[in-house]
Amino acid sequence: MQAGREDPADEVLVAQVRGGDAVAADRLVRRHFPLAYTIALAVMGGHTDADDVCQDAMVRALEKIDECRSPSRFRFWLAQIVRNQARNALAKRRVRSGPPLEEVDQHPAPGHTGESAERGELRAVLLAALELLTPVQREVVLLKDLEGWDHRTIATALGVSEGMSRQHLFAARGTLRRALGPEALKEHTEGHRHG
Amino acid sequence: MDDGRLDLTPLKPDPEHVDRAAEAILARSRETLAGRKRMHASVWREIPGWERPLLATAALAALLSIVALIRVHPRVPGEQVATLSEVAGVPAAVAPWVDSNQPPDKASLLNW
Repeated sequence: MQAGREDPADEVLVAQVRGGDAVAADRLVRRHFPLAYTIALAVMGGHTDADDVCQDAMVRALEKIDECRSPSRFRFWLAQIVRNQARNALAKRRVRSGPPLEEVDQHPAPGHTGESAERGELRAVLLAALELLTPVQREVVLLKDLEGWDHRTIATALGVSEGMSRQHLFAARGTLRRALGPEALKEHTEGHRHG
Repeated sequence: MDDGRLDLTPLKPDPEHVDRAAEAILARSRETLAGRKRMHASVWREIPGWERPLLATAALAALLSIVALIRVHPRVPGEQVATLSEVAGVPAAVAPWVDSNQPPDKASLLNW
């Protein structure tokens, strides 16, 4: 994606953040928070901790931004930090012998109190359905259908082949369709603009 | 086009969520960013301060080097400059031909 003067490229923002520019940091965070949140959701299985994990990971990314060797690929670097942070959080929870994720109530994440009841309900249903997928299936389907990434990009980010990415997507969509039924999921058709 | 795409947009964080999260992240990163700004500013302030002393030191080093070279290899008056054939290690018998920059005639070759 080419960034204009009003929308500086990631490498420009990363350079400014390295110099301590808080405005650039704010832009970088807002630009990539949705992706970070998506990955945290995928790894955490839709648990409410995804929001905390995502914030922790982004704070860490700003602290360690000198270690981002390819600023133009900042999003991939950030995605890896979020993934690691989420896995660590899951491991810690297992060590503490907390209840399995499947038994935790699927409340909407903090910060969603202002959303419409219908959207909140649909969100809760989707989060519960995501629990049926493996972490890699969740990540593939969320990156593809929510973030609009292509298979090559997903494969690079996850370290799998494009063929595996397609297989995971196929399996994930099938599971979600069976779990949610045709009414719960609007399928995008030609001309339907993906938000 | 991807016919099988599912509408998962309810999972996307809404703008208010992004606002709150960004504010929280920036608040937690304030010290980090301020530290970076201080460090960045001090580096740029240091460079002009070091420019003149560096130039003066470089000039002094150059001067000392020239003096040292002159003292170590003083030119002896009347010292003969080596010819090309001497430098190249050409045998003395052939050296005149090399230095004359002319090809030897047949008689010279036969005599040699």
